Amino acid sequence: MPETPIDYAYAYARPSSVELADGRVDVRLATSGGVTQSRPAIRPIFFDGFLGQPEQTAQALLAVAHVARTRFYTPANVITAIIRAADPVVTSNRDRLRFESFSVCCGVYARLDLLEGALDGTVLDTGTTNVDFNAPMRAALAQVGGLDPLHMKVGEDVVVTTLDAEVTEEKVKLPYRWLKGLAEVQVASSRAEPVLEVDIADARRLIRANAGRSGRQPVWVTSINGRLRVTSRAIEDGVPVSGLKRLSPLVPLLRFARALRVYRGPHDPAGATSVWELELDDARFVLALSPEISRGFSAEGAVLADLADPTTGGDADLVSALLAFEPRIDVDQLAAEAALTVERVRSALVRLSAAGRVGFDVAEGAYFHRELPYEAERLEALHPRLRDARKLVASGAVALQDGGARVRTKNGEHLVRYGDNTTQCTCLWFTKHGHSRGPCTHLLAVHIVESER
Amino acid sequence: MSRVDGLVDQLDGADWDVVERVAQQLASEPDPGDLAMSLLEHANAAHPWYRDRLHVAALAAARTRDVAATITGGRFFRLTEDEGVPILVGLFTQHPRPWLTELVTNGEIADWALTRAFVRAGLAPAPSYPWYFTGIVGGIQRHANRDRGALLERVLADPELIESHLIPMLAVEGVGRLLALTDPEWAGPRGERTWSHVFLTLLESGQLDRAEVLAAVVAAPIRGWSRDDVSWFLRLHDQLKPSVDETAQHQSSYLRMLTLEHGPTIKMAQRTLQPLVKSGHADPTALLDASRTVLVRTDKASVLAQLSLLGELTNHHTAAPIVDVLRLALDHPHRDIPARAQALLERLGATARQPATLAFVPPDVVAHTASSVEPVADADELADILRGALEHVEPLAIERAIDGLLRFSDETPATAELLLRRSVDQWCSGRNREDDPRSALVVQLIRLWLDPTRDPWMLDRMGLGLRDYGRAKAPEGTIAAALTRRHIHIGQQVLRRNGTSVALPTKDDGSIDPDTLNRRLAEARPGQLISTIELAIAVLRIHPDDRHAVKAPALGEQASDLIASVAAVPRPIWERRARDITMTRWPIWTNRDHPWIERVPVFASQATSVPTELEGIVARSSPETTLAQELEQSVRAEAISQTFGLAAIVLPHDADTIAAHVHPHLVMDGGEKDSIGIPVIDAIARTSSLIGGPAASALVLALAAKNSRAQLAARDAVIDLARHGRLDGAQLGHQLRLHLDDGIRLVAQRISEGLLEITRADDATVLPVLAALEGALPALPGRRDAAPFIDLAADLSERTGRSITVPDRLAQITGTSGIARATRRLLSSST
Repeated sequence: MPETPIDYAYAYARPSSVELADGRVDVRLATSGGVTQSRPAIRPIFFDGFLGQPEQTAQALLAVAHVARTRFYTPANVITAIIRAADPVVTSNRDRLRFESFSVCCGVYARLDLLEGALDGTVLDTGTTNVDFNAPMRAALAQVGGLDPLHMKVGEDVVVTTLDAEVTEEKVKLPYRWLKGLAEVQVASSRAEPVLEVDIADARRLIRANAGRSGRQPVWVTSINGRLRVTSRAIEDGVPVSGLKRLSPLVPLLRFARALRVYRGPHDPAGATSVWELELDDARFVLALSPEISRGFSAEGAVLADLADPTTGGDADLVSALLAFEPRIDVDQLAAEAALTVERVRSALVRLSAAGRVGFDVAEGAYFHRELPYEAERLEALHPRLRDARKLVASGAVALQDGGARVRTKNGEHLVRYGDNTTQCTCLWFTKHGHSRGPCTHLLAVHIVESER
Repeated sequence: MSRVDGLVDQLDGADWDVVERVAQQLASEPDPGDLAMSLLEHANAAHPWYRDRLHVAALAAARTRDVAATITGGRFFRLTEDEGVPILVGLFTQHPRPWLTELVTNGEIADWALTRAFVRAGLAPAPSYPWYFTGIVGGIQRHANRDRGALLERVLADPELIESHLIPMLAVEGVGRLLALTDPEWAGPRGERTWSHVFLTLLESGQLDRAEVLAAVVAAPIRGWSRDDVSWFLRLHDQLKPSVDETAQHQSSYLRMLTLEHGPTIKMAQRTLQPLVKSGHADPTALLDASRTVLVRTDKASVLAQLSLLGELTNHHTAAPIVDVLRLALDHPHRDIPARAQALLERLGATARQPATLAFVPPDVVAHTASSVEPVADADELADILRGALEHVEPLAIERAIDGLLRFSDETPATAELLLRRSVDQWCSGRNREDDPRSALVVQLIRLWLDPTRDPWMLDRMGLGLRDYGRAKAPEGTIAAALTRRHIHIGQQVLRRNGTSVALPTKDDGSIDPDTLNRRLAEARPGQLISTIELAIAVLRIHPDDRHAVKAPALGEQASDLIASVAAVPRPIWERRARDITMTRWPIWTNRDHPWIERVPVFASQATSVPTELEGIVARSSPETTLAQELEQSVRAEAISQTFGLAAIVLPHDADTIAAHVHPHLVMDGGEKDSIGIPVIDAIARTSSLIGGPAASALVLALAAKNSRAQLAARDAVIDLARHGRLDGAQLGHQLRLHLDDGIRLVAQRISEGLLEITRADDATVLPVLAALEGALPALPGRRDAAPFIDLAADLSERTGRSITVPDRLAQITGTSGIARATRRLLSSST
């Protein structure tokens, strides 16, 4: 397993800043790395103009930054948070700006979509880059009031005279599970279905009353008689939440919100991914929570079956060549352009999302194009179960038999059995997790052998 | 002796003039080689009191930036005495090092006092990194510890610190919590030992600019910092007592504070804004905008304070669009708030929205439903279930496994080798405690089934609730001991391959329908043994009204007698007692010299005749004999919780008995991760009969539990019981009253919040909860947390049109307190 973190260097021309002067707020977001529509860029420039709803936007940006800096769950054996938080990522999708962040514990994903109505300025380019949210900037942003016009520049045309003197560079070690989780949260979101749409007053009451609750065991949020309630029962039409405190980033935004929509992954009594979407004025704030507070998105494995399928690789390359930072990817159109079936395009998009190259917007029910400013090829290589399964196949450890297969490992032999509705394995991993986190190594190995037959 | 050893000998505990002489000598040497690193190694290994002498010498011998940074950045680098700092400052003044500036500005010196001394001596410019500023708090205070009164003197001795450091320090994230740590509230507002005192003194003497300090203090709560970083600033703000003019100057910041979540910040802003609003200088539009956020808060105090501000606003700004904002408060759950808002609306001549007055109609009772339980199909499925049970004990899965083991004990699954290996690995790894059901039951059952040695030794390992590792089994009379007896019987039958399964529940609530049991008993094959314990449990799982229908003529007289005696077991009559238990081993702060005394409610059943097979299950006649042991076991919540999960499914029709068994664990059931009570509370929710005292008491304790999931389970249970017509509200209130009267340790506020949520969630709960509140009212006078109970009682009384009896002691309370107001409302709704 590649435990070594990935070294990543942020190189900002200068720190981001917020200036409050003459009744106007100027936010200058420094950018670092990433890609634009046409090419990779060192410090891309995406937007220059005023933003609507200044106080709401400032608070929402702070919520994104808060998630990036927070470890919502600390395992018992971790005394201090040794991981330096990664900076948020901004994507310019022509008509909107999307700010994304991922918590240090890999279990909470936040995204702020500033929609067309909120942008009164020039979108200078499309693409994705890191943005700096330093402490003084956050402190200044917290003081933005409702009546201050908010001017924002995402990226600046800063003349760098000598690199050593001007560039603010910081190297961080990004754990592989953090990178993988950030990519996999998109796959999990794409499988979430709308479950609740609630009156915002009720949502305020529920979230304010419960966001401070401790506890790791999942509870379910459900609407009974038109009223939101938290229950300990695994209700099929409820939304499971493990660690209600993870909803706390929503709290400062509740006063601006017009509606709350909640989406949920496939029902599982042990917990499922939930996506909480606050509808704001000309903006949306999305918070995705992993099924359990102690379990990050990185181990979900929902994408493994698609990755194991040899045909999706070529399709993904073809589809990715056709993407142009669309705010909403039209699958039918893409299928026509790529001369592929809609199903193959969907599988290719799942593969691309696992590589950090597309995101999923639950409100639109569609993927959007963005390229995480990290090495995509590394992301694809970060699936230990898939890697181990391929090793098993290569070593001839899989023996198909009537009704299943036997998989020989260094720890003994595991039996894979086909049932009426599901396939089972006798390994410890499958005993613990079943199908809730994607297939185990042995099921994957059998899947690969079968698909190669 | 090497030179390093000689130096270490010389410096160990030496006077500082000796250290200075040695350091001067080392600093003057053209090439001391790797002496610096050798001295550092000795320093890190030295006694902490004398470590700094070696550090001074090592730094004097350092010639490169990297070596110096290794010394000054080390985690042991701290000059614990004032003498070391001046020596190094003098040394580097005499022998300038080109890398010193970089060390200081990069923050590579772990000792703040030394950094500051270099800056003061002009050897390096003042750095700008945050720690340099936050370090002021600990850096100065550290030295002041020996004479804490000297804090102000230390600050005064460094004029540049006052001039250019203290105000920037207030803008650095994290400084608030450091200041709060060093400024304990008990030191008093003017205590000379506090930083607050330092700031107030410097302001009085004009050495700090009041406007700058106030601006920094007002900005702190709205910087987005955590609440731990804010509380010190709130205290200093109160001590600064800003004038109306100053408040007007920072009005936008105070209004911004109103929109935050942190209650103390909001209260501070409201207090400060009050005179400004009174003077008519508040910005009405901004205040109304901020009020929209405050008025929908769930806490009462901040909303009432905001209404008070809005009341003042109406005196000066009659044209302000205040009516729409006030209407937000009309839906607030605390009844005082809509009343106050309504009064303000009436004053403004606005029509208050009248709530719809629909007659309360309690919903119909809903029938309880349970799903069917499927027996395992074959040995392979049994192996799958046992493999899963090694990881997580799910009571129904265990019952299915027991049934499968008795039916397929002579068959071998395809994965036998793997299952056996995994069970042995689990046992040997010690991953679970010996008395954890995964080890004490599942592992042993697997080995009894599949281990070729067929060693009866494994039966000795089947002990739930062991008091200590291997020392003693669960005390007789407890449910853990009774379950262990059952498991050993099952284990013996698995080992002998001669068991017959009769006790598998047919429904997921643990119950069996009588026809199925009769069929199982009729189909029992000759030569196959039916364990008497299994037979007794099977009958226990039949609803008490149907037990007489169980017949087993083919099994002989003994079995028929057992069935008849189980069917004749009366429902226990429970007596509640409160007992003080002296604990010497747990919680962690207790010991034999300073024992922890916990008051525990216990339920004892009246002595009655019980079949031997069900001893410790259907009755609990002497709970005091095992109470202390059980209470101390509560620390192992995970194992005990699983054991009670197994127990609850054995008693599907007697929630009170299982509740009586779990009582010793409920009082200290406070863990965040696991709660012992949850399986029992869930079982109470599923019960098929009206709950009695023990179950009602368990619900009260679980409503007050620290574990939020246990609280939720209790709320769900109350709702389910009410919907199914099985909640005795009066009993619930009676138990609450007894717990409050007896001084049982519980947080009553959690109970009132829980009851409020319950009545909002389902109309079926309204009448039982009203009855519960009526029962609890006599215990409420004199309690600070009484008002929410009385408020809720008044609400429900108004909503249902039912009057309740208000005790005289409560009715006589007068005044304007929350309790008095709530009582008046209750009295008016109950007449």
